[in-house]
Amino acid sequence: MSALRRFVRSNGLTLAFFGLFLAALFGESLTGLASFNQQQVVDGADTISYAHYLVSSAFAVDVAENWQSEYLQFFLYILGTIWLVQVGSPESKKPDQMGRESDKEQKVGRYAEPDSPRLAKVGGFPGWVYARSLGMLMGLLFVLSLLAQSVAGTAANNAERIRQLQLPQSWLGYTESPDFWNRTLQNWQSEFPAVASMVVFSIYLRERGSPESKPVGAPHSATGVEG
Amino acid sequence: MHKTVPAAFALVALTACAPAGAASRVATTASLFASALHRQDGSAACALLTDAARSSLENDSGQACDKAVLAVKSDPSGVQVQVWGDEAEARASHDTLFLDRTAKGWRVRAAGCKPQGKDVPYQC
Repeated sequence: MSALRRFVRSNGLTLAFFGLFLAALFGESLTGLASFNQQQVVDGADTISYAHYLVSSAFAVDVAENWQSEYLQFFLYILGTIWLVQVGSPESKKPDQMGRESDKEQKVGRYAEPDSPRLAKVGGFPGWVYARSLGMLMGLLFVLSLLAQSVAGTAANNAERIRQLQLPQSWLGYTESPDFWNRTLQNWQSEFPAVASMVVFSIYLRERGSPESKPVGAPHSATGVEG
Repeated sequence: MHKTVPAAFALVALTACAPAGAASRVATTASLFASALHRQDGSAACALLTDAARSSLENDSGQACDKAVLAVKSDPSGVQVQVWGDEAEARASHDTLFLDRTAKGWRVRAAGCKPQGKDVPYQC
């Protein structure tokens, strides 16, 4: 097997989803441009080019508002599953494992194994940070995406306000506006039931071969068992 | 179209999100538009309107643009410019212009606009 084939085989999950992301983003940019230019024609304004649309605040806010909700979802899921359980779900830990767990269970400090990450062995502040780095990164990406949404949204909303013969408003004014919170909450509301339904459906339903499912023959009462 | 227009555009305030060049070009268009009205040069003023504004002016007045636009009153005063994307507003002491970025450059879409209250569209 060639090195390239081996690389693709070893990283297929990441590569497939990154490819899907690029394809979806491309599709969003094409349909977004068409929608934007339809409105330009209705408003008696000039249509814009694809390159112009790609760097526009209208495109940026549409992208960022979805990113922030996805990273919020994963941030809350990563942290929530530390302390919250769902008996019978492969997405959950067992009830007696709730919390951060012991150093021994987490293989940190003197319980680290030879092939454990270096930061898991060193302890102290670096080890403390490393032990929370996944949630921190997801939280940081959520905050940055939300900030990008607010900045791009201010610009896009102000362009729209001027088009409607209204005066522009400040960034702070925009973050208190119905447009900002409607964009935000309509994304958030779709994330949470998706997570909740995945947790509950996976108690009773199976997907043979998927690590997101219990083994087909596992009992409904089995918690934290992945197939 | 609208009946009063700010004529002198001495002050230009640039927003953080607007390139200085864009705000400067908006102020220039607004200034040229006001100057044309002062000289009673209807053709020059009409050339600085968007196509939609020119059509609207002609339809509303029943006159050719270069005649109808001369009914617009000018109101010399300082102006602050904000540019957001392809839209801009040039706010003077008594009047506000709204401009679009077009293939020909910045063009006046609405002039002589008066505020009607918070979040209510200006009356032009």
